[in-house]
Amino acid sequence: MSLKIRNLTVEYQRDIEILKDIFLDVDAGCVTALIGPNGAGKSTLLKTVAGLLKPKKGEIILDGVRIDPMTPDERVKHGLAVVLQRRSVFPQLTVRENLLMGGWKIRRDPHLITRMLDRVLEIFPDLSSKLDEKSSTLSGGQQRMLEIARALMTEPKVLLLDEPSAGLSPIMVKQIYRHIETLKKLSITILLVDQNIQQCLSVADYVYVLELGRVRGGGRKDALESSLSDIIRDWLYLERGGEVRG
Amino acid sequence: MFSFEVLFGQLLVGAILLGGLYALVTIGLALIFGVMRILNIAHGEFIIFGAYATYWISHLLRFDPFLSIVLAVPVSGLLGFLVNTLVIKGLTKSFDAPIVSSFGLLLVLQASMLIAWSGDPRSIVTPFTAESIRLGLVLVPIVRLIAFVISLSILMLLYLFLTRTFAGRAVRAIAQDSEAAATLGIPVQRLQTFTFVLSTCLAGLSGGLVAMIVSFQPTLGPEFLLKSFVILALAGVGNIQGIMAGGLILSIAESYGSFFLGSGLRNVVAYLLLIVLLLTRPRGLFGEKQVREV
Amino acid sequence: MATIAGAALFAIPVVAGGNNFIIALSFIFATYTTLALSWNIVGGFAGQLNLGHAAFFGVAAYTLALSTNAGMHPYVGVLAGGIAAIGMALLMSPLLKLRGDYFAIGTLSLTEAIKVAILNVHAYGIRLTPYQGLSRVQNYYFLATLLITVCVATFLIERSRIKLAFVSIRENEALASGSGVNLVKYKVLALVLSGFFTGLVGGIYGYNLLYVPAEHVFSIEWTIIPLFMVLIGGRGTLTGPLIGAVIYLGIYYVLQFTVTEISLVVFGLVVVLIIKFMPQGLIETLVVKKLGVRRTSIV
Repeated sequence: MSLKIRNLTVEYQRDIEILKDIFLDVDAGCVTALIGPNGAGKSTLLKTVAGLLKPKKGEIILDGVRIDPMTPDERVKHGLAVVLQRRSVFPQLTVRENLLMGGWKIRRDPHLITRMLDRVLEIFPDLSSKLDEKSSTLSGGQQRMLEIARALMTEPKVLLLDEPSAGLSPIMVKQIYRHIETLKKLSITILLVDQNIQQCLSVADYVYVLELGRVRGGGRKDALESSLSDIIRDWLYLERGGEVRG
Repeated sequence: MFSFEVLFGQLLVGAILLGGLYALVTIGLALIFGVMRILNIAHGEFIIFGAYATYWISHLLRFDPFLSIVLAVPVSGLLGFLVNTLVIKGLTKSFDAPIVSSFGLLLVLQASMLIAWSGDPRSIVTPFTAESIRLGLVLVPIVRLIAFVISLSILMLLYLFLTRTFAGRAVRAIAQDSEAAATLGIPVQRLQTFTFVLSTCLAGLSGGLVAMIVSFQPTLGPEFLLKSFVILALAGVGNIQGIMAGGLILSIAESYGSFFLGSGLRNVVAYLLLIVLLLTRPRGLFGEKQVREV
Repeated sequence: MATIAGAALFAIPVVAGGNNFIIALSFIFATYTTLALSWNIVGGFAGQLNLGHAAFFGVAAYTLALSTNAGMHPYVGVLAGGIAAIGMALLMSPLLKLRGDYFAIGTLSLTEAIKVAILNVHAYGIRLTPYQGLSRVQNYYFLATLLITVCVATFLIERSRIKLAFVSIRENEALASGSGVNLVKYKVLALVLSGFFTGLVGGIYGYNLLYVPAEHVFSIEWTIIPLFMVLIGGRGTLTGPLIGAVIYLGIYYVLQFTVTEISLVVFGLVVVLIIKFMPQGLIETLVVKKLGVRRTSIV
């Protein structure tokens, strides 16, 4: 399942353009990484694709279907899932209940739900021991895993991950990325945004740089291997407030 | 002879019975606030509407009062649906748009009822309106007992719905994080509409029960709204048990307050309690986090 | 244009001749408008939804009643009423630390509580003995002067640093506080100013009526109608409430100047519609957006 973004422009409070004419292809079954300095609009892009923000213009096409007029929950029906940057577990619900909420689409089929639950817990075994605890009692990293597991319950074809490793200890970061590798093996198309360049690039097939609301370049990671250090250098330069030509 | 024990026993039982009804009255407000973050100031008006619906159904169609209540519920729900579609949906969350809007709604509903049915007090008479039964040393008015039983049953059903069904848990999920819920495929707006209608149904139901116990008029709405606020301040929006406890506490405070201070000041107890709670609860009226996650 | 309006205001009794109905009507109208402007200070500029506005009105009216019956000159009594209202504002001020919705509930409850408490003591209100030598028309002129004063005060506030403080509190308290705006000082200031002006009006109103019943002077209509005027016309400006007042007068005129339940329904509907479609009020939406009039500040 591929994701195509065409001419996407997103405004903030009239006249302030956060994203301008974004053109992006996310190839099926691959991990596409989006890197860029703070404020570049990466989260905004993911939120817009998820349907939480309305673009001023542009199209978002999921496997040939235009999803930009759809509400967020409709997009889930078409196979899109997102893990938000902020903490988003349902704090007063147990881990199991959180996961069940991910199963809303399939709620009428109890057998299917149990199967999905089992599958997801296979990928995230650490959650099994905490199933009946309130999710607010989990650590940051565990909550993160719960959020990803929950998103997986929707059986997504395309998964958007917004800074999955943010605020986590290095050990947890490695664990999360191991899980992302697993997701890759499940042929889920992933659009990944992260500040942790090293991990991000290690798992990516494609890399794009976003700066000040525009895509500044990128492509297949292996093709960029040589210029990857250039890209990183440019990125660090951008972080410090410089401007990149071309 | 009216010994102190009997009197206090009597007052206490009466307060407990009323407390259950108060909890039912409040739960609708709590639902809307929890799920939609809207403080529905017109809540009292929906309760009174339910009272009138019950009254007219039982009078015009000559139905049994309890059957009338059952029929009044969907009628109230229908009103709720209309209000939700026309007014609440798509309201800007800016400033205090929801609260002002519900204020306007209060005016429209209350005044319409005044026009339609005048300000004369009414009440619903049942075969056992004036009857009481004896439980030990205490005289228990039958209508209050029935209202209590019905309230408790409905509250329990609601509890089961919210904790055991998918839809119920989804409603709770929306209350905790509506954005996250949407990203999981949960139809947030649809469930919010459902919650609103459910809330007005509950309001209508409690209105019908109220109509059997006291006489009512269109201007009685704000009084119930106030009581609901107090109970929510005591209980926090989060749980049904808390609201039941809150209803009990308010009811007891009122009963004993009006016993000692005179019935004219019965509501003043509620008002002052509310203000004290507002000022002393550091986490705000409903115990919610003051800062929502951005 | 302001001077014409002001002159018109004063000319009304002359034009009306001896027509008491028109004078009475103008009196009520001026009362509501002044209330709207004073509510605007707290609700419009500072963004605190005060639903207990009637408390200022009622307390002042009561003070006026008691003092006049004790022999004081009514206009002095009005001043006393204003001071009593300041006292009320200070009493209310602890509620200011509450967030929007809750402040609204708190102020509403406080006013209701006071009303009920007073009703318990003075069920039938206080009848006033009229002071020698003061006519209805003079009362009206007093009120008109008051209205103009509040207009000027609002104008001054609009041009001053105080407005910036108020508006910053309205838009984002945390940010305002972080930028060095003393939240407590300015919120209380807004409330006190609002209360004082309202109190003065309450006093003169009570005297004009020669009868001060708790149910009436603490009635929610003294909150609702000014609120209505400000919401319709636009918060936080001088012209906003005035436009709202004109619209209110218009609706009133159409409804043949009778306060019936129908008028309440109409008001309620108008509030709901305005909030839904023009949440910023008439001024904002029509003048600023449609006519493209640029405002000089980000307010």
